[in-house]
Amino acid sequence: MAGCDANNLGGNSSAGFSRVAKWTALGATLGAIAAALNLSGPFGWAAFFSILAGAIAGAGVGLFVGSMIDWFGRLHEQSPRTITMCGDAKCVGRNAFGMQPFTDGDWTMNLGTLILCSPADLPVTAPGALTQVDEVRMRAAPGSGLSVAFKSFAEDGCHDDNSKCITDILHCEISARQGSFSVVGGAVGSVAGAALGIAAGIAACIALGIFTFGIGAALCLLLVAVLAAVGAWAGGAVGDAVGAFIGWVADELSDFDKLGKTIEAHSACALFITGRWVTDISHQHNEIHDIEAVQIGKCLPSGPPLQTRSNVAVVGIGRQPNDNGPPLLR
Amino acid sequence: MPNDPQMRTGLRCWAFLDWLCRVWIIITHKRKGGDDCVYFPERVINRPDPCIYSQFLLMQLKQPVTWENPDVIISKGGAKQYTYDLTVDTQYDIAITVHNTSLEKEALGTKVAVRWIEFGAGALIRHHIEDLVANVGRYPATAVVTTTWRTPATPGHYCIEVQLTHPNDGNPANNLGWNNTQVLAAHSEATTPIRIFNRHVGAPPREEQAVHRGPPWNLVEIEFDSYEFHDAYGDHANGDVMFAPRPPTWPARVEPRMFHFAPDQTYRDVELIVDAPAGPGHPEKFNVTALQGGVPLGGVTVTVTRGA
Repeated sequence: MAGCDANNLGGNSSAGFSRVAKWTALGATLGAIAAALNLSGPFGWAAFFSILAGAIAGAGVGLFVGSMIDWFGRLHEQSPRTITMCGDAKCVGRNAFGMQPFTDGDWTMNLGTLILCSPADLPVTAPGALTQVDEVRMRAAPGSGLSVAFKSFAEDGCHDDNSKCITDILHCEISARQGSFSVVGGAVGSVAGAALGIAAGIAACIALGIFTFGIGAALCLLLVAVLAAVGAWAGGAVGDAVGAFIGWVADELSDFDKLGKTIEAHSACALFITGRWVTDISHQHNEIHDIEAVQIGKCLPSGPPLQTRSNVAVVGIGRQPNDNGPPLLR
Repeated sequence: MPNDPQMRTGLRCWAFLDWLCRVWIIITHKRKGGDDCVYFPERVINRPDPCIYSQFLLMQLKQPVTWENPDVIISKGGAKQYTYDLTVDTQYDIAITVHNTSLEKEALGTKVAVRWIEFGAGALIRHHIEDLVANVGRYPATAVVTTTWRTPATPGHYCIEVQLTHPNDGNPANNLGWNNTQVLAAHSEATTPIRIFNRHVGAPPREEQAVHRGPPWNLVEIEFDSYEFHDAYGDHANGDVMFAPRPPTWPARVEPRMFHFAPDQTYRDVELIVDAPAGPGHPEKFNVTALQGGVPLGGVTVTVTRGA
């Protein structure tokens, strides 16, 4: 089951990958410099491969550590922190189980037919915003580095062909622990793996008696750099996988009895979604992340629910129970 | 936890084995799921929802509102009172009905903050009356919490504001309600001033810029109608009936109906003018609602009487 993608009108919806790539390049450069600085005597053919292996080792550490930095720094909180949006689900799904940076297991939803339900006094201030819903979608959070956040739409291909941007949505997510655990596991694993690789290389040099001047030192450095590279990448991958697995188990344990509910996309149910309003600089759009509460306000037998807002209002003031529509899938 | 150390150890062992068993089930069993749908865990989707009649939620949902809140009653000696006309230094009873839309979760320990603000629309200064606690059962249960309030010794006109909070609230959008009412005896032209407060005194909201294209921050627009809320529950609660718009029943106007606040202007009084029919008859209600910069400020409900 795939999660929901948000297609932005403008901006760079893959800005997160660019930032992680910069961390990777930085790591590679530092690794190469470290290897070069440690070379002494006649470099010979070993020099090139030592620098290359050092760069690969640094890139591995940079990738995994950079992924963690990006992961925990990508969401910039708005003021007010918490909002409640009303709407209906245009897309729902859970991102596949797996490792960062490929997938994260998050619960995702694209909310459409948007109404800002709370706070009712949110001022409209963002450049180009005409309504409070525009404000929610377009105001750039402090520290995001953006002047305006880009609106998201449900249609695939909207980013490249603006005529396809038809259905306004606000992307909403609940973070799964597997995403956070996997980036931490990857960072810890890559650093530990690189360190172990260096230690193993030095130990091997000593054991083999090749830690001598000249070509011996160059060969030794090559061995250390290669093992550091293997350690960084293998440690990062293993830490990433182990972290994802532990996070997945932790997610499942937290909801072991499965007392939650299933939401369908395009069902005629009005939803109240409450959560943290943020700018996600990895996608350069605004979203609710994490969703802290979902309430199925009103389900109707058919048709778009928010065209009959009076029936949603009846639930909103407590005169009918929420989740009172047709039975939902389990 | 039992006092017997052996029993405590046994319970810990059992808890650990139970945990291991759960982990095993998670790893080896296929979990629920499906296409085009997503299962949301209980912690986000199954929560209590304490609520009251919230004009601000209803306005966001584009529904007509009354400021005579059916869930907030102020009375003296059992007689209902209008908040505009309260006597100075006098004790009144306030009763608040708290609802819960959840069929599954009780809204126990709901905090009910009762405050007074100045009569009108958009007053910013809140004055504490009482913090109460409501324990609301599952829908259709309601809880009524009460308090007494002695009005200030200095003359004034008041609005009662009620704000609910619950740490596990499933929908915080329906927690704020006002009771802001006045009764007015009809004349050929019944006139009453209504104070509109400037929400952004001194400075426009953050990042107000030339490129902003929405309504100006200082533009105040005033709407009025004669909508009446007829309370109903469950199957009897039909949204199309409960929220049927009702235009002003008698010739009425607000002057001015639209204006701009100067940056340092704290408030401005507008006038509701109702041309009531001559002779006795039923009273009519006029709900006056203000928006500043396209955003709800608040409002009042004025009941115009026509004698016996």
